[in-house]
Amino acid sequence: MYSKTVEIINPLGLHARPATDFTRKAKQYESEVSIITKSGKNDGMIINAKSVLKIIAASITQGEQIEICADGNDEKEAVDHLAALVNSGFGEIK
Amino acid sequence: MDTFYGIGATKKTAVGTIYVLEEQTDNIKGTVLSQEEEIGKLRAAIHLSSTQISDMTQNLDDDSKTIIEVQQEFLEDPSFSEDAIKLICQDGLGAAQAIRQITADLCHTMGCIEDNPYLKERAIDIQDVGDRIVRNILRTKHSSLSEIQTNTVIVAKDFLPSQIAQINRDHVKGLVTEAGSFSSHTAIMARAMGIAAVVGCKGALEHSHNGSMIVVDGINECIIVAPDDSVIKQYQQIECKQTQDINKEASEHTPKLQRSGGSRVLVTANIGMPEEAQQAKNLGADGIGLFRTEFLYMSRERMPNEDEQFEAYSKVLQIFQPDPVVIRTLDIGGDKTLPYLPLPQEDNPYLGVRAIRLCLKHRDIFKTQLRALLRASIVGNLKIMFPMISGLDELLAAKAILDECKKELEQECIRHSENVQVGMMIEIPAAAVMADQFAEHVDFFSIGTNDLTQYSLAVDRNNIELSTLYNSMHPGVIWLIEHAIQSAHNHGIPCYMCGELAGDNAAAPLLAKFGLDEYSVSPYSIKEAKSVLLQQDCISVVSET
Repeated sequence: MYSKTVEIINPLGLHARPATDFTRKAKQYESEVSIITKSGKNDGMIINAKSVLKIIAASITQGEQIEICADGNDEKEAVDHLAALVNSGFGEIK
Repeated sequence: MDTFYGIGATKKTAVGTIYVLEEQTDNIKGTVLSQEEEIGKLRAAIHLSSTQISDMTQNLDDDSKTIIEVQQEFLEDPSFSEDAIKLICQDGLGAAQAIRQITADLCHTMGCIEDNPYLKERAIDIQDVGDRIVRNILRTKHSSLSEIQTNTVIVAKDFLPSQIAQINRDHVKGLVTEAGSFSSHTAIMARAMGIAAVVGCKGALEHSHNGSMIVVDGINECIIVAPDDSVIKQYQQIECKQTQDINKEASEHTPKLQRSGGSRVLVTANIGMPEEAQQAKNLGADGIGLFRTEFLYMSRERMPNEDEQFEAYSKVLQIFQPDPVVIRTLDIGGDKTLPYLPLPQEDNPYLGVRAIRLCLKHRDIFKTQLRALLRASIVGNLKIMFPMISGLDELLAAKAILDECKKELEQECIRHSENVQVGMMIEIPAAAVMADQFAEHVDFFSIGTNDLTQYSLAVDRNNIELSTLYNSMHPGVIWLIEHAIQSAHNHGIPCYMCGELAGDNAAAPLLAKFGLDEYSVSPYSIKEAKSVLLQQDCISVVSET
């Protein structure tokens, strides 16, 4: 089990295309990956990071903290790459 | 070639291509099989859905593709597969029931997130994907009667009245049902619509295949599946003769009307495609009161060019010459969209960039249409009508562009008529209230009662929950109508009506009293509208002298 906490910095939050990008990346890893919300209205909710529908429904917006957790053979790689994706602002920030 | 006997609902025949309407029972309460079998059905259905969705993207442009690809993403989402398997194993649900429950939950969650139009749209995608999976589990097909092509005969177990109502009479030539009797709703509606129909025809469904030919013979009360060429020819001749008979009957039975003062009262037709014009003429139309040009645009893959439009408008004008033809400029936007003209999503499409608002923003589209109209004006008695005018600025801007087009044509030495009348729709309450001012700038008004009612009463006309509130006879709406007619007459211009109310028998006495000059109704309602008007004291038949 490995995890990292990151802040959503892109204006659109984890909606729409960013959510799709996120799950596409998450699906590349064999480990189980989840998101735990750390702030906002759904604090402490555990979400399957490979479900774009669940992520969209969680309505995670800009400025919120999320913990990305993975459990499996490639857990460290998965978390590091997903955290980097979030920190990159999903290409919305130049 | 196979013949099956049933009950002839109408004394008509038709030859056409079969479209089988699959039953949409959607019975998800069926027997639940073993967990393994239900999971197997679920996996197979998801796999099939995935293939269908990727097939669908083949012929799409990039924007539409992106939308459909989102659905593919949703389809592969663990919410559908994994959660459905959980429901099957833990709660003992069937695969279809499980998908239904998941779809409902997801849509509910999405709908609860406030102020997010994006999520509301996604809820529709989720519903679409969920429905597709359920259809594939139950192995039912999705039938959309509005997509039916020309010369079609629809074969079904039976129709729901709402399904028959969707049928495009220009495309559907016949109906065949396995159930039903002479007095069943299908038979009654087929008679009302003048469509060839054989009901109670056992064996019809089993032997009908999409795309093959069929003869519907309401006179001999049978259908012929996969008829020989000679039989097809024979029936085509009968059909041709039937049309001629109808024409004859129509011209004999639809009188011309006048008011007691002697001025003509016209009953004209609403049409959407040039092909409907001849039929409208045959059914006794005194002209065209509303040619909705948007269907010219919606029925193709790209914008119709000037020549194509010129041809379409000329055709209608030619048929009715010298009777008047009111052609309404493009009323697109809002709920009516064009596949090739991407428009931004709007929260309130009915209050959004539609009709004249869109045309004033896309001048090139507008000018192409106006040039085509002007060129066609030499063929007949053309009246151009602008929709959705709310203020004088819009009207004057539209007229200025029309003048610009006239000048261009003159420079190019292309002829157009000098006598084209220009009018506007009265469908926005403010326009009705300010009718006096508008009347100085146009040659006629035409009241669009559908939108006028919806805007005046703030009632969405497509919302079933509000159907009792949607009332065109509301005193407020009637006041606006009367005011518009009076304002027109005060300025010496005529006032027409092209909404549903024009063909409403209950409204006829009131409208006749207000002095409405023209009633534009569906071609099939012309005969009835004239007979209802003739019952009014102030209206009589024009004496032929």
